[in-house]
Amino acid sequence: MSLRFRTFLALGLVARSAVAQDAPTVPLVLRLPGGTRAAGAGNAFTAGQGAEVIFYNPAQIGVLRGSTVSLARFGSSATLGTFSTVGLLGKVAIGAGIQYLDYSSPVLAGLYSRPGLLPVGGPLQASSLAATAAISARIKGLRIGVAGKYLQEFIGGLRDDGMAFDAGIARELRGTTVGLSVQNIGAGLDMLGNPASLPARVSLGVVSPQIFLGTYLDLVAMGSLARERDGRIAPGGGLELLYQPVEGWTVIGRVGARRVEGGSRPLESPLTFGGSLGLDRVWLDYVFQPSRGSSATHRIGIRIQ
Amino acid sequence: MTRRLSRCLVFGLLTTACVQPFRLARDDSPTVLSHQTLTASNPSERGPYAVKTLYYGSGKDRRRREFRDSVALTTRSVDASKLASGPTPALTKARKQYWGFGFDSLPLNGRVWYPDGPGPFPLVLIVHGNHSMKKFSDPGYGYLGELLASRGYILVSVDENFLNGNIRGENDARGWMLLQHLRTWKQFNDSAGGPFHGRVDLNNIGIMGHSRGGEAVAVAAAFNTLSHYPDDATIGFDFHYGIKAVVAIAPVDGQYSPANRPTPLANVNYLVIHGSHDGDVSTFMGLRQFARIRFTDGKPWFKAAVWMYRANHGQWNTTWGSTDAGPESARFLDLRGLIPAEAQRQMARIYLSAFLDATLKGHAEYLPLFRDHRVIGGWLPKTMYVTRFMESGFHALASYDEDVDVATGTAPGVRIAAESLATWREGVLPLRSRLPDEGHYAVWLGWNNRIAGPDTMKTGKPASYSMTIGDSIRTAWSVGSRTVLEFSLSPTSATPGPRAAAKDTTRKDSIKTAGSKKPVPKPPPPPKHRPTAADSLPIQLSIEAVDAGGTTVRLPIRDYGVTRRPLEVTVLKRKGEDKTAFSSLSELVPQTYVIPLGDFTKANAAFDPSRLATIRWVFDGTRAGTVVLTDVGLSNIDPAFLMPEHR
Repeated sequence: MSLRFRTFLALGLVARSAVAQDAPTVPLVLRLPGGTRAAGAGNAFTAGQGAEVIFYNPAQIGVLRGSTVSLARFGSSATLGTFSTVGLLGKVAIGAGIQYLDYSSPVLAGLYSRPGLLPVGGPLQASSLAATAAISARIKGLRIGVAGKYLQEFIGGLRDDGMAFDAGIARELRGTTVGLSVQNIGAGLDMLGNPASLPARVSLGVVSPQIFLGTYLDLVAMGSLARERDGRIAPGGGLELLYQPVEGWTVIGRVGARRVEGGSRPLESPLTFGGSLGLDRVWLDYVFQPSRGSSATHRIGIRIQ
Repeated sequence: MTRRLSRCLVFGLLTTACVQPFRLARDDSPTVLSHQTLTASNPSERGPYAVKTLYYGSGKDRRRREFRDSVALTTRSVDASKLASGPTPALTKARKQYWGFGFDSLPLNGRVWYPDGPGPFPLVLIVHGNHSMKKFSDPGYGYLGELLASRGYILVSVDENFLNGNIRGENDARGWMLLQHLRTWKQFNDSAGGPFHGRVDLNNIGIMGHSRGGEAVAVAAAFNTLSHYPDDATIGFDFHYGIKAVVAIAPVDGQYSPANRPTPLANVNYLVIHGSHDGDVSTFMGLRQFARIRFTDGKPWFKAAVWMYRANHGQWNTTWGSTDAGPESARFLDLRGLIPAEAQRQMARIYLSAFLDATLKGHAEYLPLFRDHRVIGGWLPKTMYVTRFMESGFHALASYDEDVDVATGTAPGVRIAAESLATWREGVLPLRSRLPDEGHYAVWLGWNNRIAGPDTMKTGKPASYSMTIGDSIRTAWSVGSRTVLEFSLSPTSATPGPRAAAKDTTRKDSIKTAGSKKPVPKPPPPPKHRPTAADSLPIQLSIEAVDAGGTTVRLPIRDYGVTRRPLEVTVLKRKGEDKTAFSSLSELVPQTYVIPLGDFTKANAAFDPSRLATIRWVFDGTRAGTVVLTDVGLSNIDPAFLMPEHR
């Protein structure tokens, strides 16, 4: 362990108690939106569909087959990449996903970083990984799914890994999808005697059907309410305005809002703005999330569904 | 700013590149519809009667005030649970919650337009087809109600919205409901003191239906003659109403098949109309029912099919409109080619009113327009039409349904021959859609009068196709000067290559000798056909009649109807989607030609129609092409179908 690392680590550990912050949870990647579309819609994707829903609710993976890849840049100091794919295997749906975050940790805020600090960066090279496999089936109109995850967090020279599980249910109620999921159940990680819990949460989400607004315009609304391990309630929601001049050609404007970490002066903006361009089965997604200061988060994704 | 503009431009260009280029066929109506030769009054004009309206129904409708608070006549409900059901118990329950009744207690609701007069007036029912059950379809025929009531009909727009939505295979119920309405109307007519007591002419009933309703009217007419429900004989029928006229507007076919067979129909007048740009029933499915109608009782029936270019599915109903698959269907349907809704409805006014006048009131003056739409060129909205027609006097020489022998006809003793044809085959008439065919057969005749070789102007004797009939047919069918030749024909887009030159057997090198080592040169491949401007012109050919004495007379087909080349139609917005969705861009709708044998005598007085021996299609007007020919026959047609100069 280098002197530089130990110095920063010691400072961080001292500062941990002084800096008001939420209880640490790792891996950090699990505290970030799992997909570009979801990120743009206030992270309210518990009842969403498409490959990225594997990061929110395994029950929903059988609704829309496809794959998605996304890349997010947090300021100039962190990069997130995700890949997910879902498909049918007989009567069940299966899916796999991976989330990998490459970042630098500002140990002044503790050993473990927070999403709002990602654009700020720090001196310690770190990475966070979650690999997910999920399976889902439909039983009497109710979709049920479970997922297993391999988790790994690396900060400086420290590393720990573990396993976690998700479970979820979902069903259609008069065109509206309602989903409930429990995520990140498992033992926490521990690095250098600093135990951290998994970011377990229970979330309830709804997604409206496509609401016809006009000849070429539709609206989709999403909402979710999550209770996190520390008791924090995190509501989120988003609206998508779809413009489809020709079948197969779709332009989507998207706005989302969610409660972000950081108390009354969060580092990241609760608002996200984004859009998508779809041509038949291929979609290009983009989302922008402002942060305090000059940095911001940009995320792009490609979906095939 | 410039960058933003260029981004918008790029997106616009990309979107445009995905959209079908707007294309309509050259409109020949300025020529084809240039004359109004029928002198009768326009059937689309209002008649002498003041129009009254009322509603009848359950009187307790949860969704429509008119069938709850405004019913002048209260009707019973009927149990259709053996004919219709929801797709799932949950959806059945949801439907019942919405309507307040289930399939076991369907209401008999109708909105009525009727003439202010003593009657009795012919009764006409019209029924809508499938649509969103919450967007009520029955008010959409008010334009017909106003017109027909003013002309002396009681028109009822039947409510079957509760059979709409997410159910299938219910067209038997739709048809059966119409018969239940007729039963109710008999009660109205019999009820002393009621508003319709003695005012309904139950011997002259017309039933009209749109889309699924268009199949339902055929089902109703078939059920009307039966004693039992074909799929469950525990249900007895006792209808036998005086249905004389059946009208199908852009109908489906085969969604209900009694006892797993296509619905048979006999001894009724039948009219079917369909639009080329139908975005829902995208092929002329009514031709299947048209082909299945038989005239067996010797009475004067007829059937006609009219195809209207640029008409869609929904504009026949004012509440359906231009987007045939729901309001969002403008995203995938190309609506640019549609004829204005009012023009489309004007065509319906003309044909439906004339058809009812001709079949329920005996107004024979309108009969010619069902044979040839050109006689009402002054009335019809200016677009292109194809008319298919047959009347009960028709005797088939060749309907091509009977066997696989291309050299024999349908009637015994008919011999068929061909000369210099490049294509001569029989087959089933296809429809534009991929799934069903027309269920009726035809012969494909292709020719190219050019002789292969360097001289592109060298042509041979025109190809021909002939039918020879014998004495027995002439006698049995009383062939004479009143007889007409009827056939239906449509050009196709196929053009065969030049024909091979006749072998010159006098040349030494033409005789192959044993042991000859000289290699035979490979013939050059036929040149690829490239469309030219001439390819858009109508196909021209002649009809030749030969009598037993050898007198030959040839008449050009153009005098009896247009031989328009196939009209390519694109109903879908995305470029290339039509080619994927349909087997062909054009609908093969043969036009019926009716040629009085007397016209051959007018051309040559020596020709004796009563000794007609051979009919020949001579492909002498267009150098190369292919036509489809079907329903060739002779008829001692009611002269009322002909124009005065041909009677």
